[in-house]
Amino acid sequence: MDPGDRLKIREFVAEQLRERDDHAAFADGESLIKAGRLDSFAVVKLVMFLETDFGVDFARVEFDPQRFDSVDEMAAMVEEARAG
Amino acid sequence: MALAWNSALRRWGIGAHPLDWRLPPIETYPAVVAFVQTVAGKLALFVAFALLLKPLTPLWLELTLAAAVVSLAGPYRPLAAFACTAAMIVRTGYGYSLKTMQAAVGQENLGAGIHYGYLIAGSLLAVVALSAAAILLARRFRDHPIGRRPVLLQHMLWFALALLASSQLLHGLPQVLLWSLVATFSACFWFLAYALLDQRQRQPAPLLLQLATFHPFFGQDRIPMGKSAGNWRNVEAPDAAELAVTQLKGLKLLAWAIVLKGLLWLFRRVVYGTFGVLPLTDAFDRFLQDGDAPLPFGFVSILANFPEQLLTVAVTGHVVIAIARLAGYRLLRNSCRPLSSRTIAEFWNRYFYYFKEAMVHVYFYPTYLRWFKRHPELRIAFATFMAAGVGNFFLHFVLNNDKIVQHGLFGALLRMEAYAFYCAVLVAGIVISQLNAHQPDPQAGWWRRQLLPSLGVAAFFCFLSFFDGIRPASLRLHFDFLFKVFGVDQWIRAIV
Repeated sequence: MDPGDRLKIREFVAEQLRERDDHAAFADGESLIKAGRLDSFAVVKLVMFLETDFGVDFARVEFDPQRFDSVDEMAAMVEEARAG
Repeated sequence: MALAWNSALRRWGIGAHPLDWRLPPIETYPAVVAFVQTVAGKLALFVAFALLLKPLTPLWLELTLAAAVVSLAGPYRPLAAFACTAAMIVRTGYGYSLKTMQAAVGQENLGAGIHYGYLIAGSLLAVVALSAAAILLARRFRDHPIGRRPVLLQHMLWFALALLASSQLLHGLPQVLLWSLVATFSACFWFLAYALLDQRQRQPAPLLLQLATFHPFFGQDRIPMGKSAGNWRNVEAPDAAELAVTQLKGLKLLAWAIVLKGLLWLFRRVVYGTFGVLPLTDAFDRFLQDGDAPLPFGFVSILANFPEQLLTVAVTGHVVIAIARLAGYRLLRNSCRPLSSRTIAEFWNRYFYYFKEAMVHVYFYPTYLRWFKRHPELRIAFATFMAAGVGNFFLHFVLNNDKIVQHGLFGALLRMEAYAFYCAVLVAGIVISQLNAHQPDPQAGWWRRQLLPSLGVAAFFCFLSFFDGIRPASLRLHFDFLFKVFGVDQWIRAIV
């Protein structure tokens, strides 16, 4: 994936964390939902973000909330959408 | 020197400000984590856990033993979880209320000839077989147009069974058996919904683990705390060190539950005992019987009910999650500082996390992904309506299925009008708070940034909690009571 796209996802995730007063650092592979740092409301925003900014169509890409757990997994989802 | 002192205090959970005080973070002490991995350490942990659990539930020994067995099962954890879940259901009958069956037996005049134990066991076996078949079919036909909506089919099946039962087409024992099936299916409904959703994953968990999540051994009778088998697999402690950390977190959460239980006891003693405030259910019952309301401070009953409800939910949830953690599942807490919420949506997330998660997974996501994709605000509003409104109402309707036996499908629906109001106001509140979401102004002081929004949210839920199914009275009677205790009824009479 283009590093710029990955950075864009990362920035959006960081924004979601900041909205929750969470300013701690996070790695691209770090679990954010399992750790309770992101919740289902954040997943909703991430869905909309991936749809509008990356054209991901969740009618074609398998939707599983756990796939929004880390930047790496979201990047993989975008890749999958582009390949499909 | 001061820094070193502060750091040492923090190691014991004592922050600079009283609001930062916590229970000692024992899961971060290397010596404790290492000790808990030894045989003696595990034994000490289980004994300490059992002793802490004893004042919280009469099933303290069974629950500790079940969690201990699962935690020690290693690669056989799913099998142990299934065995412990089955054993706990036999021992306690989680969630299998007799009310529906008793009502049906009474209706059919079959009092003497019915053995409820056999009835529950038979219905349970039928529902387990039905669920296993549904899970396997959902997995087998996941790409078939019908198989893509297994949870919708599940809803349709429930309605078909409830309609058949309430239509009185059957009589005598077959009718009782049908109601028994409806009651048991209802008790398993949300667990099965999660299991069916799990089949949409690339590699769903094995059937045995799916069934282990139905009224799991760590004990919750209605809402699937721990969510689906897929989630169980994700949050399972991967190694001995992580297992020890998870178990210590469970122990700490249990200790916190005891503190909250003590607080609840003190609250009831002071508010209801010393100050003589009438508990809300008693006050409302008295009003329903003779139109009498505790004046002039009747509204205090409503105010007092809210913290009591918060503490009760927190204690119950903490106990369940603590047991799951002892078994090695790194589950998130059910309640997490709800009063710190600055928005209604945040409160809904923090107050009863696993209830909200069930609504979100079963109703919100499927709606959100299919409807109004080109209208972002309407899309969120409609999905929220389906989750916090329709799903929330349906869940309570399904779980109160004994009312359907007594009043029929339509009659039972009508008797829940106050709860329908609750759902409608909740939906409006969550939608508004989601659509108006903005980052808090970092320049704003603590009062404006935290306290005032939190007070507003608490006031909203305090008012709303009165309609949260306290009694199956009409909406009008609820409002009559409210108007009376707030003294508004005189104004209304004067105006009218």
